Amino acid sequence: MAEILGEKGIVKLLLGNEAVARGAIEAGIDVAAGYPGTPSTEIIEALIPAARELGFYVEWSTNEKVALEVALGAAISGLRGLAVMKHVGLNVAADTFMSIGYTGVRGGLVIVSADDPNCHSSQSEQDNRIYGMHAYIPVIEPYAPQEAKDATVYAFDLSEKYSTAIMLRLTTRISHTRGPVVFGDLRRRRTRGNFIKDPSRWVLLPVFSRKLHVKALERISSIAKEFSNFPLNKIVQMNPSDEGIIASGVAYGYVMDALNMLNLRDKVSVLKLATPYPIPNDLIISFLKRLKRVLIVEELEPVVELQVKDLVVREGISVEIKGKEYVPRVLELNYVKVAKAIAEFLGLQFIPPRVEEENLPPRPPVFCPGCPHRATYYIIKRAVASEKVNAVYLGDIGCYTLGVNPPFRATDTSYCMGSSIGLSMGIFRATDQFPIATIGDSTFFHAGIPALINSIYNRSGILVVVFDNLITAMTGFQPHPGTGVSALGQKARTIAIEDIAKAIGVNFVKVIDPYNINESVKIMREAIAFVLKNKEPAVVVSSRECALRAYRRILKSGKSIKRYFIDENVCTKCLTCINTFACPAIMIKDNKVVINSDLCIGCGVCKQVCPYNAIKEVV
Amino acid sequence: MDLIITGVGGQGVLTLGTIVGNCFLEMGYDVRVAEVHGLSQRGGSVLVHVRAGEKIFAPTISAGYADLLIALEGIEGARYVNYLKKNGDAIINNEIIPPPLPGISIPSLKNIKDVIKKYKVTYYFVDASSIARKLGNIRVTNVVMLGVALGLKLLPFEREQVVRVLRTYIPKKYLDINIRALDAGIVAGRDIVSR
Repeated sequence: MAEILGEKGIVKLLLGNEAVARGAIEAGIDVAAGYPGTPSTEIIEALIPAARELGFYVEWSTNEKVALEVALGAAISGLRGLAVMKHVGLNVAADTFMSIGYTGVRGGLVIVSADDPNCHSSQSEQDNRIYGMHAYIPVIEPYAPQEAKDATVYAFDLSEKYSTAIMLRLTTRISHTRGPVVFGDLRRRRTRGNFIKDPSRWVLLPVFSRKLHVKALERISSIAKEFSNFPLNKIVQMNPSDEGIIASGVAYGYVMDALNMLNLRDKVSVLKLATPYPIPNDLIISFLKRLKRVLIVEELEPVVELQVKDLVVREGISVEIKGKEYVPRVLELNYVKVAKAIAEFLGLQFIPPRVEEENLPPRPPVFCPGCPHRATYYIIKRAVASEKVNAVYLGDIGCYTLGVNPPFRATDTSYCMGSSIGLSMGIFRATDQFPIATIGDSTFFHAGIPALINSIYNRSGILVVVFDNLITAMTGFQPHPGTGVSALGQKARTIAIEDIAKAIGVNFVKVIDPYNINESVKIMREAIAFVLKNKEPAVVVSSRECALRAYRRILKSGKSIKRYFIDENVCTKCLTCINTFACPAIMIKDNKVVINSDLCIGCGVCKQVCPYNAIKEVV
Repeated sequence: MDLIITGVGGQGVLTLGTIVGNCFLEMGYDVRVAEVHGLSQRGGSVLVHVRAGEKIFAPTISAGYADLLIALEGIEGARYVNYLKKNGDAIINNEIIPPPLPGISIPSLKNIKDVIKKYKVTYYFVDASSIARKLGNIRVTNVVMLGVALGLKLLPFEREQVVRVLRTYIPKKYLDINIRALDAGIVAGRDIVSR
């Protein structure tokens, strides 16, 4: 049975993301769509098995904009839609998102934005609560898994009540923290929606938009009133001193632990906030009026702080508001950072334990043993060296971004999904260097195709290498249009990347198997020569199943994998394998180069890399 | 109780966190297990925070406050020993997995021990990976380590309780070897105590 299914009253230790999925089915979700991205992925993943049992619809969309539009379509037809993405995914969906702020919805629409303070798995720490403010879309941020479930149910109800989308803003420490979650009732789903035609609501022509803008502002001010009675906003303690704290989202947890550490639980007043936009004016005014100094504790941007300061000025309340003077604006918080901030705010001393950093080798994420991306980079580097081109590597978002690390150092830029191909064309226009765009399969479908069309339309001499491992690997193997299967496990039409490239009009399109080094280097060299000669794009699709998946499949089938060893009588210790290929399974042990059989999955590529044929198959 | 579990991506750090979290939940505690997902799992350093008590507010443990550290790998144990509070306990697997970066020097087990010794903590080094290999699957190292913590009485769980949780979270095919791993770990832990 799906992890999130079960009777009312059951308690399970769920990830915050799973709790959101449970909340969605308790709210009677009809349509859910998302694009995988850490830390948001497990919401859709948890919904998939539940959808099979309950009969609602879930999909992995090609990108976040499409996902949002699929969920929106359901919501403007009177059903309940859920769109799920990571924070930077909302940048992709922003065009639609901003328009939803004007039109509102008819059924329920909840947009999950899983933000990533600390950049655990992201290019930025952007705080999407600001997006809510930008689009007049209310934002709810829970502080723990149980609250994440409750907030999801409330969000759907509010969405319908006010005909507005709601942003459910999570952060990594909510999404990826397990906590006990008490299951509630599953509400019955509606059957079919019905889209009611009304151009004045759904057609954003200027004549309608101007009126909808006014309506959006009215809507948000009614919600600000409603939020004063929102069950997850509350004054949790009121103490006789003049000092108080407003804590939003996950910061509430850190504040309570910090107050316990500082022995201040019975001295400082605390307002717990779960709606950073719009702030609940009446509740906040009643809190501020009883105090002289208030500290706002929130992660990242001063979203609540700016609104509270605005409120204080407008209402003429005499209270001193502090926030980012004491609370860090970068990285995620913890109770020590918050205890420090509170102590400084109160003029107290707090000395946390001294923490030494030990001088140890770093352990950044690396390509797994057998990863086809490692082989592809090896092939590119060999071809580039042979053709003697001055390559600039425009990278993209996926496991292959790790190509930035030694020994490859073959990722010179990485901005956002799909940006490799676009950037490579700018490099082509601006320099005499040789632009190589490296992009993954799922990223290609997500945002690479318009850029590739541009390279034909505006004839650009670029080499595009698609790192095709047949799945969205980095986030944990979600299928995509090239995989041949849907989120719900149904067979889907497979869209081949090379077919798209050919259809667009790329004249050099080749597919290589990165496990076949010599043949692949030859084709890669031809591609480079083609680009140099014709000043037009070439596409090489380097296609091989993700090694982790291949390995699991082999294990499941009961077959054994090939084993390799390094013949120490032949090995010259030239270290070519370690210095140019760097598979984690090859290591130096007792002054010998050895293959660690705990790690090796038998891809056999190192055998082709060794210049002395010292790597041999175990027979 | 505040517990840090660390190791290298692929060693089963997350699974161990879930098992421990569920054992605490069974005992009626409030629990948080803060995990790391996504890219950093790919052979990277993995750190899981487990908190259990009457009422838990914050999802993570700050450095200098953990009661117990369980390290499935030596370098990671040394890296995160600074999470322990004074007089905390560390259980460290006698296994070094070298980060596959060209040209770095890899600390020896002795170097690792020297780092740990600098701290005012009680530490136990155990051959969990060897035990797992003898049982026939290196991947049960995590449950061996859990057994050691039980044997040392550093986690308040009964064997039967852990077995119940394993039944829920481990695929049937691997259940038997995981129970044997737990038992072997408990024996190893008790051996340390009796020494």
